[in-house]
Amino acid sequence: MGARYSLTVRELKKWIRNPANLFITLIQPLFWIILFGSAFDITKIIPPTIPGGSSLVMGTFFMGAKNYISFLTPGMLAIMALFSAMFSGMTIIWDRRFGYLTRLLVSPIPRDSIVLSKVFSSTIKALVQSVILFSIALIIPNGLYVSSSFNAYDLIGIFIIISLLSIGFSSLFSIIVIRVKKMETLMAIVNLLNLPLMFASTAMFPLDIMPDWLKNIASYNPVSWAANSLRYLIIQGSWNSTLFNYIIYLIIFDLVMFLAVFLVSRYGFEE
Amino acid sequence: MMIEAKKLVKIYNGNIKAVDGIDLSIEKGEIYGFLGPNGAGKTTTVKMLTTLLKPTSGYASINGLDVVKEQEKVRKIIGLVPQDLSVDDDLKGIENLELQASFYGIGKEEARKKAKELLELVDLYHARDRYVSTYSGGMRKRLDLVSGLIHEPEVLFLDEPTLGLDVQTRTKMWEYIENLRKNLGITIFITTHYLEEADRLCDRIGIIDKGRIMVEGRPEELKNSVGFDLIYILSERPEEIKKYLDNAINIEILEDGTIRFSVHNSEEYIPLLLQKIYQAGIKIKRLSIQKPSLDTVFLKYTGREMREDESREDIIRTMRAIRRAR
Repeated sequence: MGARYSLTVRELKKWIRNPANLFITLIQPLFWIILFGSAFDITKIIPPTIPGGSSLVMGTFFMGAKNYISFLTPGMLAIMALFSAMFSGMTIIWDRRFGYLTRLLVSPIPRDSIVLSKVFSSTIKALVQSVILFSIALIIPNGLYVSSSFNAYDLIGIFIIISLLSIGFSSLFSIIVIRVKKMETLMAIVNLLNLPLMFASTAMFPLDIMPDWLKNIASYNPVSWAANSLRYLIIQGSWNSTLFNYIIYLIIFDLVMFLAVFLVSRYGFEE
Repeated sequence: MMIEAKKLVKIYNGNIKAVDGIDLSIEKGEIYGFLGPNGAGKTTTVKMLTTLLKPTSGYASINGLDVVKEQEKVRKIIGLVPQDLSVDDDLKGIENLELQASFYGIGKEEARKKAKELLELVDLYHARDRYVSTYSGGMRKRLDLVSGLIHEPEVLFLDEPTLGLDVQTRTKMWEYIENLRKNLGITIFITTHYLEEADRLCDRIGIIDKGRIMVEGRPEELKNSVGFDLIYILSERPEEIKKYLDNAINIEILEDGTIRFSVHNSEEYIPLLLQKIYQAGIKIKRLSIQKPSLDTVFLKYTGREMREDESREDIIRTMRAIRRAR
């Protein structure tokens, strides 16, 4: 455990000592929530054609959120975990570029510790960031309305889901970074992955207003699983069977990614 | 034998032969130098010996441990100071060493003690709590040097330890490296393309070019193998002196009347020659002897001058530095 622990601490030290980093990773989802949540309030665009009015729209399409920001915030928590995972995975390329990776590879540490330290630290970062983002969403006027039954268990549930998402994606991005050594190619791949992961998910839009083909993609996207799970916990305060299913999907996603990262770091790690 | 290699070969991408059958046998406590131009295969060899690269064929071992089959054990007893800086800028000097120590399972207390010793060894203890990003190039290189030593390795690999350093810092680095051997008695494997460096530091030198060791031996031996001291004599009658030059080769009279020639053993040759010249009544204005250098050795065994490559490498290095700075 020695190197896994000390390398995780290294990542966190570097993160804390560079507040600009934290600020930037926070500011983007904040913009989404404040700007997108207010300016592009899609709950107002969908006309309440069904008799019963807007509360029915919110109930059917937006999982019972009181406003769009309440719908968007859980999605943004998931997106933030995704971004944090991406950035953490990317730090491997800096370690490679600045020679630190050589130092790691020539020492007798288990190869997986190099990657697992990124995965662990990314999860911790995502958790800290989500607490801040969640608090801000609560503070802003007409912001996030949590369910009336929201309690400590729901909060723990939120942490579990964000951790699961973060572990899965930081593993995925780490694998890519280990195998793709060229910076430019890597950037392209990461961008290529990121946008669809974000937009072809239920993070910002409800599944029901998507075209069918997108619906299919979005329902297999781990970001959707996490976003919807968070909505059940935050907006509805209900631990229903769908939520449990999503958690199981996320665990399976994590196990697969974890195994892959383990194998790739053990057998495919080159300077 | 601390470092051993037999017919070590590395072929990149199926056709680029970076290392082409290298044999090595380096004793415990020796400082061995790999001298050669850029692209000669020095770094590739180091990477194979330090388990970073798998050889295409051949065998290599550190203290009897196979670098392919016993990687883990090899990693425990070697230290590497890579060509490029490899310390973490965002950490403090001492944190870098303590982190490094944790890779080798060294406890916190011991790591702190060890780090203090090493930092003192390279005059960095006063800067231990500063972030490495505030260090000068020379300071970073020194930290890099001791980072490879925290676990008291049996063998230290130094890949171009003074590349890109100014002359003063380079001399200082040499002193540190000499101290390491004196104080710790470890085996050191150095690659360099500075002739001066190899000459000063190494007990034995292998001259490597195009993936092969062209010649190997102690610096003195190598210089003797070239065998020729270059002698310059300035006098009024060079043509007459020429008559007395038995066994000398490459005799040439330069524009200012200086006669230049090469002999095997100038220590014995010169006194005899001078006697003859005095007897003939010729006055000598100036005499100088140039002992053979690794320059001449390199030229003899590779058929090329080292310097040509050196400047090219400096350009590549500069470009890399620029790229890094973004």
